[in-house]
Amino acid sequence: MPPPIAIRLLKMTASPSDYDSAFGDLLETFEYIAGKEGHKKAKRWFWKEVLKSLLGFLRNRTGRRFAMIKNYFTIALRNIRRNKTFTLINTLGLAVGMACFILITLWIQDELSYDKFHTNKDDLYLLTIIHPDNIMDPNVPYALAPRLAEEVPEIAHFTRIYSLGSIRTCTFKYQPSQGMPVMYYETNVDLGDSSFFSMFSFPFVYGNAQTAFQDPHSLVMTKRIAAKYFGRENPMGKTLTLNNQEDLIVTGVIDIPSNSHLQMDFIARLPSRLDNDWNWRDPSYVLLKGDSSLPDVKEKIKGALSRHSPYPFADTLKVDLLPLTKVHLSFGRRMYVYIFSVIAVFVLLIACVNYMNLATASSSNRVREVGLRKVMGAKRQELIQQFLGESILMSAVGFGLSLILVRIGLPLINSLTAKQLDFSLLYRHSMYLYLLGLVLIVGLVSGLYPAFFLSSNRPAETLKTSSPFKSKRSLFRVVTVVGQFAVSVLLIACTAVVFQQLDFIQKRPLGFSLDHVLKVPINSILLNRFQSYKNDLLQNANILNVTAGQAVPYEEDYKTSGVEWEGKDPEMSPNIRYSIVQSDYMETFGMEVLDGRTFQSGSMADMRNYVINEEAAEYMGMEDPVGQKLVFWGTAGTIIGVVNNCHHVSLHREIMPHIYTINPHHYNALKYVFIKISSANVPDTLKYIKETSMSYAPNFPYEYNFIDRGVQTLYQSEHRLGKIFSAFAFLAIFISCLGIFGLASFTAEKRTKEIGIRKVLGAPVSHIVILLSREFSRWILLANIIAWPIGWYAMSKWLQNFAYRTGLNLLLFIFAGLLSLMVAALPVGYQAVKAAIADPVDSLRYE
Amino acid sequence: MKFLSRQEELLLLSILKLGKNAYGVPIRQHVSDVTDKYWSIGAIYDVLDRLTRKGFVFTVTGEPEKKRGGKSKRFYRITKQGVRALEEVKELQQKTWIDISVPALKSK
Repeated sequence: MPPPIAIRLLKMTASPSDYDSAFGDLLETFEYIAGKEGHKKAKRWFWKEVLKSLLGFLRNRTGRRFAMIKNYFTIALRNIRRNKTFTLINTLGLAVGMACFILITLWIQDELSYDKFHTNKDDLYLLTIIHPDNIMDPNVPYALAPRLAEEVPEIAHFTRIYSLGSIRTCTFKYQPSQGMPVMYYETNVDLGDSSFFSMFSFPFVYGNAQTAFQDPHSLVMTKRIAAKYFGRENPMGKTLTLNNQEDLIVTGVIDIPSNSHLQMDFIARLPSRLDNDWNWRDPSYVLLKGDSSLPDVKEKIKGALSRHSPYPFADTLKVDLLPLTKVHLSFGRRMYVYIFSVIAVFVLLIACVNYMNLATASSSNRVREVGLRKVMGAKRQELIQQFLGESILMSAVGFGLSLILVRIGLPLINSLTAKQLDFSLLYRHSMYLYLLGLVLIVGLVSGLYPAFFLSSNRPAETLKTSSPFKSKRSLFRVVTVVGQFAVSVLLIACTAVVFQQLDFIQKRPLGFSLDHVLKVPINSILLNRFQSYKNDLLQNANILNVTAGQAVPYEEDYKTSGVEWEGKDPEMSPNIRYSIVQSDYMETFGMEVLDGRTFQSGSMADMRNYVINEEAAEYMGMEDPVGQKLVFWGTAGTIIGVVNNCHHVSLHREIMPHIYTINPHHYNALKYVFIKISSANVPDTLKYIKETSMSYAPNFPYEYNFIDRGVQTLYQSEHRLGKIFSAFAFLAIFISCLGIFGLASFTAEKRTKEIGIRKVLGAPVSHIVILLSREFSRWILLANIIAWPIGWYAMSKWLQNFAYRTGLNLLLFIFAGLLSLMVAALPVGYQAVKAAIADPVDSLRYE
Repeated sequence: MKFLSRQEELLLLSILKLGKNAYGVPIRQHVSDVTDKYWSIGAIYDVLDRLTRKGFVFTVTGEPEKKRGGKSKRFYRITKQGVRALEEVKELQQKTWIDISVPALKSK
């Protein structure tokens, strides 16, 4: 049989009278060719034939009606010219709606394109661990992947990532043959296995994937970083010194596409000692052999943790695989893709609804035309075609305008979403088809109802009466206007809640103070000579406190189960956060000591002692924790103090039991010196700190940051969401207002005579304004009643992302409602007042 | 007087030539052979419909056939007006070519 789609196409293009015999002819020839040259060739021939016949058939069908189509066009243009306001409202609305839609499409396309550039994308997987509560953990122990590779023959390669930069401070130094060394602190430094570049296909600027990781001292960096250290020189073969200890040789420069979820500045080789490290911090990836069965592999690796790992709770954990191309969307981002798709469709729908309402409302102007056409023998189908053609024409004009808006809007979207979307993304064949489809669908959706509505009139009725328009309240119109405003109110309310939550986050006391605290990255020299460095700094009267820590206090998300205490249930696997710090930590950050004391500077005994937070005291069930014994990572000590609960992670997550230790065994984990300075004479103090640091470690780079600025980055995605929501809310209400403006002007026009008579009989202007706006206010109130519960439900869901959240306030919803009412009152009021103050002489003159 | 177009003439002549067997497939075959060009079925039907509307041909529907997917053939027969129209173009052709010899064409 010939391809069914081609047959359908033939049916659509050939006129009904021709179809049967033409199809018979084609089928006959098809069988002939199939018998002679094979089925495949015949199928291809059939397609070609149908496509080539398209023009002939269409000409055949439309040739007779060309004059009619020309007439449709003339009428359409005349209508456009006659109703300039409505044309403007319609095209503007459609243009904004489509621009919104196209922008979101580009964004979603980018989101979906993540990691698809790898040659092996279909065989690459991320190892994950599924926790008993079904939460997927993207990080696995370093020792897991090598064990799996031994056991499971389907695994061709594996690579682990070790994010050195987030575990230790890294400095890189390049000593040119002459001149000053180039050195910087770097945070985005990763280590990977030797198979890294045979698994992932990052494009190389210098070097290639085969040779990049042959040597254990290889170092590959991105284009941007290469320019930072080497300028325009070719970096290949040059030596960079890591932390003044280890010489690494540049063996490649890569260009990581922005749609890769793996983003690092440096990648070097991972040492083999990690093969027995069951720590659990970073991701691992595997490449399966092309012909392996995924369910089999999954079955084999499922219980790997309980077989190999030393964890007592390993039985409850399941090892699993996640396709690489799904990684980007799997950890929270998919929701945003859904939200934005829904918003895109809604904004577009609002624009279509405008068209429908205005077209049906203005139908009185067209009713006589329709009547006349019918009398002259037009079929209903032809009328529908005419009106659909008009709406598609409008949608095409709107589309042209929307391209300009997209061009203007792209930089805005890029700054909101931190992406680099480009207008040229539209110049693709698949995109052309998509955009053509958009124009047609928008045209059809917005034109279908008006087309049926207009073509349904009976000619006898419409031509007989002097006033053909019967003012019946269209249920459809009420529903759509209410729907439009419901969406607008919903978006306003959501925006308000997002901003309220952001405000709540910003105002909530974190438990510590970040004012005038700066961080300086630590290096081996500062670490080794910390005490004297600290003493030297404290010489300056404006330097109040000096301490060190493993991260800024609002990003201290380090958890362990290696804690024992008296009275602990031996079965229990505790989950406790810890901070490795230096003495004076609590003082530097102004934390509150509730009981006992904090670490004493220079005290040897305190090296084994611990400070805990209130939550920990409760968690461990200690009535009087000070003086109790505590074992942390095998080191037994005493609890010397209890401090207040601090938000050491973003407010998305709960405050957990927390242990602070200054044990020098763990000093390798220290990454920053924290210095609290007084507000007096800041530039001099900064200069003093710089000079002191440089005099201690002249071979290391120096940099500093005030840490209070970093808190905002924790809530970056919420800030973006707020901005994006407000943009969409604005657009939605803008388009809705356009629509209601058009409708209001129509009702006013329809009732011109009524208003004239009322005025003559003595009705005041205010009375008439109220008369005209009453109906609209009722619709908008109804829209609010619909939107509130939906918004309430959606936002309470969203707020559940936060462990600490603001309550939902009915006032916010009332505010959204009032705002929508006020905004809608502008166009309606304008039209109402205009109608009310018009001179009744003008409106009644023609009677 | 409006004369037949070249396409219409071509098709009328092939219908005349094919006689009882003048339906879509052989007509297309014949026209393609004579002109040495590919004619799609759509292009053929476009012209055939025009000829039918102008009354130069009429159609006869045959029996449904299995090898045509249960569709019947639509045979075309030439009408008297069709024959007249052909005669007209032939006459015109002869008149216009009467004093033009092949060497005269070639010398240009």
